[in-house]
Amino acid sequence: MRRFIKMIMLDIRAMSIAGFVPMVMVAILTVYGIFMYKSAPDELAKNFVNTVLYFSQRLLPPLASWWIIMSFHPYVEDEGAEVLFSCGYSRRLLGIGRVVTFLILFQVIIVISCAALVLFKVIGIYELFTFSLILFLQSCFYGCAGFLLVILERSGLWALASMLLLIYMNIWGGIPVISKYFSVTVELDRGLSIGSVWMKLMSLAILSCLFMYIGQKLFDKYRYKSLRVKSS
Amino acid sequence: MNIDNLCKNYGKLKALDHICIENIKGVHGLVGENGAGKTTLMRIIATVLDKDDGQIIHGDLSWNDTAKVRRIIGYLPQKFGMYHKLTVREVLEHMAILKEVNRDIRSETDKVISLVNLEDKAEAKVGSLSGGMVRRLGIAQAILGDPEILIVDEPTSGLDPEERMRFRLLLRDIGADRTVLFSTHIIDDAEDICDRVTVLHKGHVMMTGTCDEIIKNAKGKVWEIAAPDPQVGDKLKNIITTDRKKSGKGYIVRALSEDQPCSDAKSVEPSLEEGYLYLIHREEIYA
Repeated sequence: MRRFIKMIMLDIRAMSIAGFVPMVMVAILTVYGIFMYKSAPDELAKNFVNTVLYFSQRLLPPLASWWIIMSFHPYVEDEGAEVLFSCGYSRRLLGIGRVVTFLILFQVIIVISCAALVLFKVIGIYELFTFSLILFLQSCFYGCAGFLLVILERSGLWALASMLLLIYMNIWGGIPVISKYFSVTVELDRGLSIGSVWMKLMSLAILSCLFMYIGQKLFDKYRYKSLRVKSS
Repeated sequence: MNIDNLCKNYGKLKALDHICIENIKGVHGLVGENGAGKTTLMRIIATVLDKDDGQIIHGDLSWNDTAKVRRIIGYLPQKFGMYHKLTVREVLEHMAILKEVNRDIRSETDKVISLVNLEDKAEAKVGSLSGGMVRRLGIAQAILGDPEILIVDEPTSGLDPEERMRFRLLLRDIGADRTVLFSTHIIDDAEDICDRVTVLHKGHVMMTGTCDEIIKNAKGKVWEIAAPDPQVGDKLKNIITTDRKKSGKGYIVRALSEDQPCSDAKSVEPSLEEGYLYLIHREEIYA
């Protein structure tokens, strides 16, 4: 287990500056939310919080796929990725194991961010639970989708581009089906209740498991892409 | 290690056609032109590519048991250069985890770093290394965990002469106590390092033997012709020119031919390169 954690840490180090993107984005949104809430007059404060919550719920879950896609980049794109496939390490740990670990890491950041919002009284303790759960399930969905995309597209860059497109469509609109089925947002006015979005969250959980399963099945049979073309 | 009737097709192209190589041990070279099937064979032995037919066996171990095979092999592919942002030590630690090296990872990485002479670059990022150093890092990761079989695909191509020489010495040292399968199209490298050589041509094994045996094959078939015209080889039928040197006012042309190509041609001792060329051009010479 210690070795597995060490491998994950090396995966993040290998991403260099890009490895900090999820943390920086979460930190910016949290600090911005707290700052605006504290500096705004009371009647506007709720609006600001709703705006920050809106962007958090649309922007943060797709970010869960960032580390996952970046960590598979050496397997699908780097020179010498053949070496990785000649090693005896369990494909299940390299696939599902890594996806789950990165999802947990991402959730830790989300919970810290939510805890900061509670600490500064932007949201209450009950809302912290609801908000974390909504973000957690959506993050799982995008994380598993990222895993499946990077294996299907055989390209980390394309998978990231697809995710950026999803973020764009999530915020500014695009294909309605995305926001209708894969995006869950709640507002303070509605008391941050998960009752209204329960079914949507369940379908996201089921889809996450399905994506993870298909992604792993493909990864089990995966070969380095240059092996698919004629070789000498 | 024995390879028996190994076949691999890419669509209609027969990349490997019933390859048989027996008793691979020490440093064994695979020599052949581009497209001969060297890389395909290497990849199959390294378990990153599936064979269509045939068997590979090492002692009691069959290549059908991929998981066990992966524990006894180390592989350096033709292109190696990943994790550019990690240091040499970090890449090796990462690889040691992936290879499930049982011993202490730190001491194991230190050992291979010193073996490939990269001590002063241990904390340098991979992206800052020269081509030769990256290749040495590639060898270091391949020998992590002391594999019984080391597979190295064209490790010396693209290296400067000094790095090439250093690499040859390194491979010779590593090959002293394990099987090293090494592919190249640089005949000098094979002559310098390998105990035995297999010549591949268009997916077929032309011959397996020591360098001397391959040279012996072309004995009596190499001719030296002194001529004023450097193109003399092109004018004669059924010969393959192997070398051309200026000598005084004329030229000395070395050529492969089944019989004496002209009256002033004299028979000379073949080199390994000529032995190799004879094997792959035999049909043209006979024609």
